[in-house]
Amino acid sequence: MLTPDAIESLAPDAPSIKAGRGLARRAKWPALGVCGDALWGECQGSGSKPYQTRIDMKGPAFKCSCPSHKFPCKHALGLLFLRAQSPGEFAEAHPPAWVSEWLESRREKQQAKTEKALEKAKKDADPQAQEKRVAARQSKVAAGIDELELWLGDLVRRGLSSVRAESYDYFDRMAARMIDAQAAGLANMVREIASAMSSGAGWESRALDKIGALFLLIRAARCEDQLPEPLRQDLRSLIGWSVPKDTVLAESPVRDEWYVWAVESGEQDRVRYERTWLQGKTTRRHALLLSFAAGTATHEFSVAAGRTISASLHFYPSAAPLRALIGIEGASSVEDSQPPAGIDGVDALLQVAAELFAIDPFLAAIPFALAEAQLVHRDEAFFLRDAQGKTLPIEATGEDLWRFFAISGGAPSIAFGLWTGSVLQLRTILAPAEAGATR
Amino acid sequence: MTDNQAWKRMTATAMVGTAIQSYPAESLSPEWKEFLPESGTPESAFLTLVAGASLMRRAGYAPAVDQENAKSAPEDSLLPGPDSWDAFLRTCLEEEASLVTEWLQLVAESGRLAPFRCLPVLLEHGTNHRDRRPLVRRVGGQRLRWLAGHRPEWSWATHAPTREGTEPDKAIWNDGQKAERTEYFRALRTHDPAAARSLLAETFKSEPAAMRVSLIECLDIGLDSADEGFLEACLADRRKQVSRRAAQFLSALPGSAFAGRMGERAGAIAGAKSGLLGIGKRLVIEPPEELTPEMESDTIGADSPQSGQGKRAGWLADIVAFTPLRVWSEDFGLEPADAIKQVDKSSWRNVMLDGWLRAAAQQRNAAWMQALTMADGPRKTWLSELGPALERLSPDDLATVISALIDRGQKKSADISQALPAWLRQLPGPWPLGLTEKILAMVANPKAFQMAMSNDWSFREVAGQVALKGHPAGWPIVEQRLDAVIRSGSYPPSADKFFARYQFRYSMHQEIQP
Repeated sequence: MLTPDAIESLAPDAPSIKAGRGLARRAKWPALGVCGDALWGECQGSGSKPYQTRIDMKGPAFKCSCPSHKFPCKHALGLLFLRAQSPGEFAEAHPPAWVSEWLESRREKQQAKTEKALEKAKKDADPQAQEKRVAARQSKVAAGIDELELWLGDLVRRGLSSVRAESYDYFDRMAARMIDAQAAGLANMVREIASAMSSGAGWESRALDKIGALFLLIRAARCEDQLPEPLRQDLRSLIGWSVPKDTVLAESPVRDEWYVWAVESGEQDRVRYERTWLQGKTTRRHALLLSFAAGTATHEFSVAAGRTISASLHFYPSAAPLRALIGIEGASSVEDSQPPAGIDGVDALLQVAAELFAIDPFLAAIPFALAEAQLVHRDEAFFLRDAQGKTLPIEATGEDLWRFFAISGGAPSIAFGLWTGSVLQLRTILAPAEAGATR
Repeated sequence: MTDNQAWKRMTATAMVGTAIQSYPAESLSPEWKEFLPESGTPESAFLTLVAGASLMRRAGYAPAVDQENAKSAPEDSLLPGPDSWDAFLRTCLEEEASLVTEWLQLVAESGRLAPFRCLPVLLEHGTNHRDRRPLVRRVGGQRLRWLAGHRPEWSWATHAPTREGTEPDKAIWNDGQKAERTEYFRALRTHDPAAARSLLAETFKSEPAAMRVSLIECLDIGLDSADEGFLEACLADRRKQVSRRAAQFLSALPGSAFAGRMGERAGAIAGAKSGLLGIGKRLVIEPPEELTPEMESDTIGADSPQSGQGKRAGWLADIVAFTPLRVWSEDFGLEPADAIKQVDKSSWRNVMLDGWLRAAAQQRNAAWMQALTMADGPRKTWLSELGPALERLSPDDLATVISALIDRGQKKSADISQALPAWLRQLPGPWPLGLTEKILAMVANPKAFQMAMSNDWSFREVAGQVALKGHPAGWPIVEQRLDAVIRSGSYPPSADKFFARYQFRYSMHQEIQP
């Protein structure tokens, strides 16, 4: 069953939430039923025939006979809200035909999808043509990297303080050049230098960190062949080579129950993105799901923070695997939503970080959950403090931090965030009572 | 050099540029030198060092140790509400300020605290909206006070709420600006009326005129016969705004000498004559012929008469406005409606009505206000003119008067549509169910709804007011009566907002309960 928060996070917009809440009343639903993961109801709408709303909690997936173009529609949301409020109203029943047929067709489609994916994975594209394409891009990228190295050299020769006076164009032109060179990852890193340079007090050190990271990448690209295989993959994906989904799905899966630490959503270049941070309860591995949606499309998979899903994840090849895809059989919700225990203390966390940076020097930040972490505000800055008093500075990112501070009440709890090696990007802190439930 | 020192040197070099200052590679320890490329430009050598040093620094981060014990929030005796309340608050904040007040009130009445996650936005809201601060403090509990202590602009929320507002700070009275001093006095008047009175007696005369105007306004709070002496003295104030305001307050003090004087004057200008054939009585109005010094010292005629009126009319209106309304029933045996009827034929009728309206507002007299509502006013805009006066009534009385207005609209099919929106704006929500039902009988009319919602601004305005302030139990009535409209799904955008908002408030009331 989903919490109201989780249901809201499924809604396409705020009015849908409102409308859905309004429909979360028994009187609106002449017929209601539940069977396993399936949930259904008939909602009296404007027509003579009631709308038939069905939900498969595996996913979750929705279908409704109403004409709304919103997805999920207010009826589906209403049904979920009602289920959350008064589960007793749903009688266990054998699904009527309009439900079971849909479930069956879903199962069939899922199966067909699985087969197709397997088939596609087997079938190789024309190897010769592909090799040619890769070679062409390779030389474009190499030329781009040469140019980038000259540009970086010029940058440090002139000095940061004089470059800082340049307009944003100075960086933008180089970023555009990297896009032309089919190295989108490098373009991003150029932009990151630009934003670090205008990031307020202490920008010098931050900008130099970014410059160092970019130069490291350039040097590594020059001796790509000598890198161990997984690290070579990290290098390539940072430059901008993408890994086909099929390749990822061909990696052996990691099955676990995954706790959802945080979901970040936003928009960049008119594409909505969603980053879901997971951690396995048994494996303790961290995973990052990235989802993009443009226009009216919805994210393929969406889950609210604080939930747990059961799924097989396939990790992108990397020396320190993090980004992952959900296996073709999908994910299902798990009732238990206890968070995994965090790392014990800042020292242990830094140890883990040092090991990871050694394995993958290209890592920008590592995800972690810290146990007994106290969020402290002093002298107009936030930091995280462990039970021994060891602290990590927190990057100031607006009002979220104040909300975390209010929720934690400054008491020890589990905190989740990303450690860059110099500053911590706090993503969430659990209410102390929630964190206490794990002990 | 330590890694940290090395990094600082590198940053310094990077700032000025390697063209000016080259990095002293010779000072590096041997393992660093190993790291340098054998050939290449000085820039590339420097960048290599930066890349390595950055990585080493990040991998070898040494955490600071904090010796101080950070204070966590004290426990609250009340539990916070569920997180779902937060979603309602966020919608309220986006939509309309009055909804935020409603949310705060619901939470305050629920016996629980605001969910902790709401506190930063509530503090932000209270910082920008002074009037919500008491409620914000009330629903925020200890956690709010603790949180507020971490940001200077939130310091208003750091102390516990007192029962009757906050203890005023005397320093503000001595050194503050006009607005701050007024606020101080207002608080003192609420908190400790006796202290406020003696403070006023001490300093009032030496205050500048603008300050005197502001201060005398505050006497509206807890006006009492103990204020009479001070107010009598104010009648002689050089500033007209002060003396007129004093006269108004005195007229509203039952048993004041001023009210007695005015009652006598009313007796002199209005005579009761037996009607034709000796049936009933008639009020015969005869305004004073001249302005006596006594009348003048009671501020009569201090305002220039309304356009089109003579001096005598102005004196008459003042006398009626300052006369206790009970005079008309006690001395003349006339109830409000009768009194109004009595002057129907009089050439001074309009002046009388204007005077009575001022009296009813000042004396917060609902019966008179209701009777004036039912009267055919001297001007077309009469009903709208009543609007601001209604503000003086208690919400309960106001609801009653508005109900009467609606009844009048139905019985005499008079056009109340101009006045009703303005009146409803004065009435804070949530409205009583009875009044809500009465208004819904007009608004939730399946035949007229769609047409009126798109064409009739006053209808739309009334609907908007109901959605915002109507009793929440009115929503199911709307849902039922406008079922066909809602189902059809085709209604003007203004109706969409009406439905959405009313339903939202209904859900909010369902959700936030004890």
